[in-house]
Amino acid sequence: MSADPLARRYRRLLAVYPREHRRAYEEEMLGVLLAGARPGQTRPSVGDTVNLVGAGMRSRLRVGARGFTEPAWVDAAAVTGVLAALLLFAAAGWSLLDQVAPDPLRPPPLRPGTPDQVDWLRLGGWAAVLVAALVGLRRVAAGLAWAGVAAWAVLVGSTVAGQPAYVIDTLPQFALAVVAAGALTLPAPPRRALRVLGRRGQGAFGLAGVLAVGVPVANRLSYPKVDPAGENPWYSFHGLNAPSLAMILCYLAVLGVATVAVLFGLATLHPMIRWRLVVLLAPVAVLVLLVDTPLASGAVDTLHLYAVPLVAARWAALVLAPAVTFLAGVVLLRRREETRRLVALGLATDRETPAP
Amino acid sequence: MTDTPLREPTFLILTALAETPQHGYAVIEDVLRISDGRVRLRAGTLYAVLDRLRADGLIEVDREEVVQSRLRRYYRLTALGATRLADEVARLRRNADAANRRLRRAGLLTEGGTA
Repeated sequence: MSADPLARRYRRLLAVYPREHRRAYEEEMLGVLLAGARPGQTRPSVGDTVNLVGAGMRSRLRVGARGFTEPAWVDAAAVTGVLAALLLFAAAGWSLLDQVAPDPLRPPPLRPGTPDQVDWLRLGGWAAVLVAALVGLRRVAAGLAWAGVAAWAVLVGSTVAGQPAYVIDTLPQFALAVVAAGALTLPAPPRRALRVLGRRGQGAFGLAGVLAVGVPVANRLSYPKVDPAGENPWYSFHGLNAPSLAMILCYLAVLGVATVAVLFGLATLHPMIRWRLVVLLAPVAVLVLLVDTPLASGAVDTLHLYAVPLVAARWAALVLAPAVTFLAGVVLLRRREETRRLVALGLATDRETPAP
Repeated sequence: MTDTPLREPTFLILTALAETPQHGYAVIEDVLRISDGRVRLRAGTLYAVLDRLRADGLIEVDREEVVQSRLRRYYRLTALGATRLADEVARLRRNADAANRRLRRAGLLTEGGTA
């Protein structure tokens, strides 16, 4: 009978569908497909193949998108939106400070210009996003965050041909803005982020924020005076500059406390929310690593003295790596939780049916 | 009426189930008949629509049979589905009547109904 190889091949095609759809409809669909087959047909028609693959992929996308409305994702997104807005506000503040009190070690031609309206607007915009998200105006916060994303695309992204190095330098902030906007778009109850974080989480992330911003600000404001004669001692470590080694160690110790505070804040979250937070922010971390590593170093000139044309492969890596990281994170997280659920189910069954 | 217009395959599937419960393959054949051979549904399209209609409560499973060792599931319209289909019919009729009136007034439609 020719139906067997045809059934096998149709079944293989039906594997494109997500498991829950197959569980509900696979046998039935197979019956319909075989009923519509020509006598003697052994292979699925091209039309059926295209239709099944297309419908199966759409079904998978629908199931995947529905997954993001689960309470754990909504809670994680609410927290991520607030934390990302906080980071972007801090980055905008630092950029402004860098212009108001420029690095004295940087020669005048390389110093940034005085802040303009866009700089102030950026700072005010992310402050508004943060406040709106915290007081429960989620839609306002999401709208402002998407406006920030659009502003980057228009003001910075459009200059990619002339200054690719600058565009790449700011890509992580753009990615963080996209994460913030996307996270705030997910419908969460008002002030959900603060409730999810709890008092300990709020304290930990608040302390980390204050310390992480405070160290570079304090360091910049207390920079050693430029000393052409080189008579005074001078210590420098990854952008931190101080007249004594003890002061450098002090800065590092404070940054260490900030790191511990972040870890403590993460530890206070429920594991399901904690890992989703990591998955949502991992693409930005990957982008930071890519921009700071040899992959992009040929293209990025941090002093903005020249622009090296980027090859397509580098652009592809900068675009694809964060997307792949996010998707891989989602898949791994689902598998991990599914495995844990099944293990818990097995343990419960074992308890209910004791060995004879 | 705030519902968005039904897409043609959805409209035809609801129409096929309006009179009597039918299984998947019978729906495909009925839709082909209703549309005068114009719409030939494929299994992927059919079950995407059936799944959505079930989720929206517009259709439900009537019964299941096993024929030649294959599962055959019959679907029927729910009361909500019947209302939704009736609303859609009224909407299409209003639009069709409006278009008809305008074409007649403009003299673009002959008595037989074709321009």
